[in-house]
Amino acid sequence: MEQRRPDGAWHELDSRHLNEFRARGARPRAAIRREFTVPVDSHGAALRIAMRGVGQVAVSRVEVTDGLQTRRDRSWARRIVLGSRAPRRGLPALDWARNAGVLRIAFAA
Amino acid sequence: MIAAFQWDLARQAERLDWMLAQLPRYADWGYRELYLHLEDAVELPSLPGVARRGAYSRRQFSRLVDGAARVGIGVVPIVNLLGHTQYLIKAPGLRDLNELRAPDGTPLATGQVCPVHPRILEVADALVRDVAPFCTAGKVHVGLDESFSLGRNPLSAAEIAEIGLAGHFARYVGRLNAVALSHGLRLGIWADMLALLPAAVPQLPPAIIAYDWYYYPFGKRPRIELRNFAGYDLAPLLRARGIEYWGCPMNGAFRHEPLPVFGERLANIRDWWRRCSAVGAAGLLVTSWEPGRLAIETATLVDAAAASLWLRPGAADTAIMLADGLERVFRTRRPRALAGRLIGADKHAFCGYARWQINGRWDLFAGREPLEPYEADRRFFSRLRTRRMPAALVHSIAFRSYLAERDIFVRKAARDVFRLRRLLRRGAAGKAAAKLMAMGLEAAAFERAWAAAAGPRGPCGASRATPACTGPTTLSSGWIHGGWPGGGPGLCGRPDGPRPFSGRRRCAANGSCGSGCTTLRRRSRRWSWSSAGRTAPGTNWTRAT
Repeated sequence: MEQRRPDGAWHELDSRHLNEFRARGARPRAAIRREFTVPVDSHGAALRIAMRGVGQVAVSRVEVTDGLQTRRDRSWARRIVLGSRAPRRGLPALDWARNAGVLRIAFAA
Repeated sequence: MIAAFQWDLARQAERLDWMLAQLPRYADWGYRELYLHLEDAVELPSLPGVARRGAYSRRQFSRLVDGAARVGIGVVPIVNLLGHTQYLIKAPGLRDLNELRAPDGTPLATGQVCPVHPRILEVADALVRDVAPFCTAGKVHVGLDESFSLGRNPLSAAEIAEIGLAGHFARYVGRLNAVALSHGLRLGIWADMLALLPAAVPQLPPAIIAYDWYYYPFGKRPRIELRNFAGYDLAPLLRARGIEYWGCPMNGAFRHEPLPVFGERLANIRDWWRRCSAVGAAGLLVTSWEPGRLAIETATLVDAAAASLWLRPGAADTAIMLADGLERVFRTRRPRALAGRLIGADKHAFCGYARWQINGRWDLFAGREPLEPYEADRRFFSRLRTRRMPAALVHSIAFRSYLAERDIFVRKAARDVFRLRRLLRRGAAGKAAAKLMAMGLEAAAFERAWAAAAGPRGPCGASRATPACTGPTTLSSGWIHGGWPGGGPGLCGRPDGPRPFSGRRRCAANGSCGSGCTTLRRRSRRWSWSSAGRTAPGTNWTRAT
C-alpha cells in the first residue's frame, strides 16, 4: 500500500509477502483470501496498491474507514488482477523496486 | 540410499553439547551424513573478518565433527559461494566481490558474489581450504541456490553475452569443481538453479552432486515455485550427464512458524522418499532451515519420524510416522494419540506472512474478517495444553496458545476503537467511558493471562531447577524470535558472546532458561503497549481483501 506525498512521490505505508507456506497455497491457482489493512493519514489521502515480484494476485473490496464513515473504491466489488503470469522459462527477474501491477484507488463520491 | 540430515547453524547456532548428544540418536535412526549450513558461523582463518563474533571455534567444530565420526556420521559443510553470500560481502575486504554495483561502479553493500570476479576463485579456495578438515564425508557443498542477481555485473554480463546465462552458471560450477577437487573433495550444489536453467546441465562437470529441493507434498515430480508450481524432473538429465542426484525435503519451520506443520512436513519427506526410490537417487537429505523460532526438539522429532521410511519399510501414514518419532525422541508412551493431536494442530498453524505480520505491527489488523477461525485456534490450543506431553511440546503449545490469544486480542481491540468512536459521536459519553474501561480490563487480562502462563518461572512454565528446563532448553530463544521481527541468530560456543538473542547459548551457560524468558516477558510487555498505542482514536484505515 502506497500513499502519495505532497512532492508527488509514492511512499510505501506497509507491504506483505504473499507466501502462505502451506500445501494448499502451493498450487497454480490457490483460493486463499486474506485481509490486509493499513493505517493512513486521512480520508483524502492519495493511495494505490502496488504488486511486486512474480505472479498474480487479485484485489477487491478496497475501502477507507475510521469507524464512523466508510468510503469504497469505485471498483469495490470487482476483482482486479495485478501482476502477470509467472514465466515458464528462464531466470525470473526479481526486481523489488519495480511495480508489476498497480491499482490506483479512486473513491466513489 | 544414504539418509542425511542438516543443521542450519548459520541462522540458529546450537549448543555444542546438545548437538553432540544428538549425534548417537541420529546414528541409531539410520542417518549417515550431517550437512552443516555455515555461512559465518565458524572461524575461517584464511578469510579474516568473515566469521561473526562468537562463531564456533575451530576446536569446537573439530569436536562436533569428531563426535559425528565416532558414530559413523560423515559431515558435509555447506559454504555458499553464489546466492546467500552476504556473509562474505559484509567484510569490507571482500565487498568488491559483489555482483551488484552502484551506477559509478562501486560495489553495493548487499548482494551476491560475482562468478567471474578476478578474486572469486582465490576466496573460494580459501573457504574450501578452511572447511576441508571438516569434510569427513569427502564432499563440500557450495550452495549456489536462489542466485537471482546473475548477470548484473558488467563482467558477468560480458560472459553471458558470449556463452549465455546457462553457460555462465555452468562455467562457474566447473571452476568451483576444480577448487573442490584440488582439496580432494566432491562438489555438491543445490539444484534449483538447474531447474530454472536446464540448459546448464549438459555443460556441468560430471561426478558432482545435485541436491534437488522442494518443501511441499507433491505427486511424482517436485515443483518450481517461481514457475507457479509447475512440475519438473531433473533426474534423467542429471543421470545422462553422470551427476549424482539427491532429493531434499524440509523438516521444520518456514521462517516464523512456532511449531512445524507436522503432517505437511512428513508428507513432503515421504514424497521425496518415494521419488528418490523411484529414480534411483543416491541419497535423501532432510534439510532444516531457520529453526530459531521454534523448539529445535520439534524439528528433531520430524527427523526421527522420517526414519520410519527406512526403519519400517512401507510406512506411509504421517500420523503413524509421527508416533514413531515421538517414541524415538521422547520415549512417549501411547504416542499415537499425541501424534493425532499434533497432526490436528496443522489446521491451526500460525503460518504464512499474512499471519506473521502481527509479529511486527499490531495496527495492521483493524479489518472485519471473522474472528471465528482465531477463536477456533484458541480453543484448540487451550484444550491441547491440558494434555500430557514432553516438555518441548508443552512449551511450544503454550507459546502457540499465547499467539492465539494475541490474534484475538489485537483484532478485537482495533474493532473496539471504532466502536468507541461511534459511541462518542452519538454523544454516549457514559457508554464510551464504560467501553474504554472494559478495553483496559481486557488488555490487563490479556497481559495477566500471559504472565500467568509464564509464571514467575518464565513463559516456558518450567522451574529453573526442573529437568524440563535444564535439558536442551533451546526454546527460550525460539520464543524471543517468535515474538517480534529482527531477531538475529543466537551465537554459540562462548560465554562472552552477544546477549540479546543468544537465549540458547545463555541457557547452556546458566543451566536454565530463566534469562531468555525474563527477556521475553519484559520485551513483550513494552512492545504490546507501544503497539496498542498506535490504535488510538484519530487513526484511519484502509482495508482490502
